Amino acid sequence: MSRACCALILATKVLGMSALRDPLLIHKAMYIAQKLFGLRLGYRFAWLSSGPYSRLLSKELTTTNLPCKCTIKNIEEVSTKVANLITRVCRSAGLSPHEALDVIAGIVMLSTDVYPVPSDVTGEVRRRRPSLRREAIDSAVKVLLPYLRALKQGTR
Amino acid sequence: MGDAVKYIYDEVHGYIPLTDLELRIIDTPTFQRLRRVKQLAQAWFVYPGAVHTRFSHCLGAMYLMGRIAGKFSREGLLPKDDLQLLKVAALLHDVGHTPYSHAIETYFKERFQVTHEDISAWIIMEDPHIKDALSEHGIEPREVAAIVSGRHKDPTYNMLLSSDLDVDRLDYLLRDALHTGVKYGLIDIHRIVTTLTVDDEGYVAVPEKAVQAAESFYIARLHMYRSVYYHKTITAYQLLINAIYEEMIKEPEVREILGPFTTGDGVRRAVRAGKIYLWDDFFIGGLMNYVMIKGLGDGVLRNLIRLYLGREGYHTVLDKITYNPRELSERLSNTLTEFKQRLRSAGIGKHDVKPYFDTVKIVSDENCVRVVTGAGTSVPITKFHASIISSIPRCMGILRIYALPGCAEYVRKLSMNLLNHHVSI
Repeated sequence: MSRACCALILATKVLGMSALRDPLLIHKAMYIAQKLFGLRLGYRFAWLSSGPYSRLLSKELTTTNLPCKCTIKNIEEVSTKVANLITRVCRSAGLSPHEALDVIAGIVMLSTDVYPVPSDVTGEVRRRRPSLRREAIDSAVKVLLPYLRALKQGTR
Repeated sequence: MGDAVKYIYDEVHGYIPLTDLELRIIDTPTFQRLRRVKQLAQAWFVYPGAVHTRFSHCLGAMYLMGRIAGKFSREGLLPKDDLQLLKVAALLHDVGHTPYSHAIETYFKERFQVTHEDISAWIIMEDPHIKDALSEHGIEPREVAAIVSGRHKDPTYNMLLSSDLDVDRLDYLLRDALHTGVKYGLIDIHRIVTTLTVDDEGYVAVPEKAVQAAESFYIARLHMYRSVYYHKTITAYQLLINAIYEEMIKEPEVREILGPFTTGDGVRRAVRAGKIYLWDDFFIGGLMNYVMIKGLGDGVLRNLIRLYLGREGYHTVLDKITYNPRELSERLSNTLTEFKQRLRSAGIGKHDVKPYFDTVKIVSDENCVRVVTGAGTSVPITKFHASIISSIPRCMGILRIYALPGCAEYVRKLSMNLLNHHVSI
């Protein structure tokens, strides 16, 4: 099984074929799927200005194309969960799907996977994306709070 | 950050000043270990001068970080108080490299999902020599480890150490080119260092006037990939060392001598006990000699060691390079399965033949250097209108079949029949 195949399938189910034009969207979708919904593909992510980034995923995508076969059993279920989360953030924060994906990945990574943990996660996200309103990011944070709490308690 | 208390002369950068903390770290047995870990492990089989060490490379990366971060600090792009933190992160970024660099790391990556980055983070946070040195000087080990792992809250810090144009790559390209004698690896380091900047979104970028210097970096790196890092003979000896390590661990008496250095957990225990300084090229090399002198192990292990020490390792019976690895990969997987089955049926041993397929990113569209285009904004160099980088291949695929001398001819014929037939490259 090609892990990167699962990443491609996930990204296209979440965002449609437009995900393939911007590989960074695949990284963000995979990060959220692994971190929030337990997809176990073992990619490690660094925190860059573009958001979560996996060097290994980037490398593996060079030899992977659709159509391909992902043998992870719950890929459909996880894809649906990621897509639903993005939809909820879009509605709540008035963001486009791509913006919502970017904001979700940023909030989750800044809250749980970087050090030192920023005292103002919303401010950090906004610093990277000055075109987004602070209220929009705050709305996204509210949607994500149950997930962030579960991560901190170790129940995810 | 303090003044220099000592200077080290480096063959690439000249005099490198060291602060009190940097000297303290360098003087630990854990860091001194890097004098005994070669930077390019097996490259000396092809380039006899390539005997430089991780020690000098780490110093070089630290020096470049000091120059670049110092420039950013003077321009108000990062706080002066973080200079020492960044320099120490660069100094320690490779502190966890396994002996023989990437050759033995493959063993730990495949079996325990442990990489040298993991070991570096363990050392920074748990090795008593290193963490005490950091803490005594008011630097949080966890924050250093975060930068080394690419997980500091400030993405610019992460990119200075982990991106296409980071201090790690800038140093090793120059250093490896010098020691191998491969001229294609030379780059205009001063131009890059003096012009690098950060845009409003935190991306590391070059101004338009330095685009040629950035381009030459990518071209130099491509040439070094082909001439050095993925050289067919160098890769062959990396595979051979990997096979030797695997066989040594199977042999009870050798395994006992290796001690904790046989599992990921074992390595971590050694780190915590402050004993990681024992795990170096000399230890593994000496152990190979010991196996031969004592006649330990079965014939397989001693044969592999004999071939390694006598430079009679794997022959390259098939060597294909492509700049369209996606197409190659799709055709390859079933063919390689059949190839391995045929080898097993012919009674060819596990270590006698090594199929090798890897892809190498030449330019990362997602993480490449950017070019400043306006006030505070930048675009990836791959999208910059006046750059040739948009026209060079993004990645390279390498397909090789290696075979030990005893079966090379048989495997060569099988490779030509099976792989050339199915994989037209």
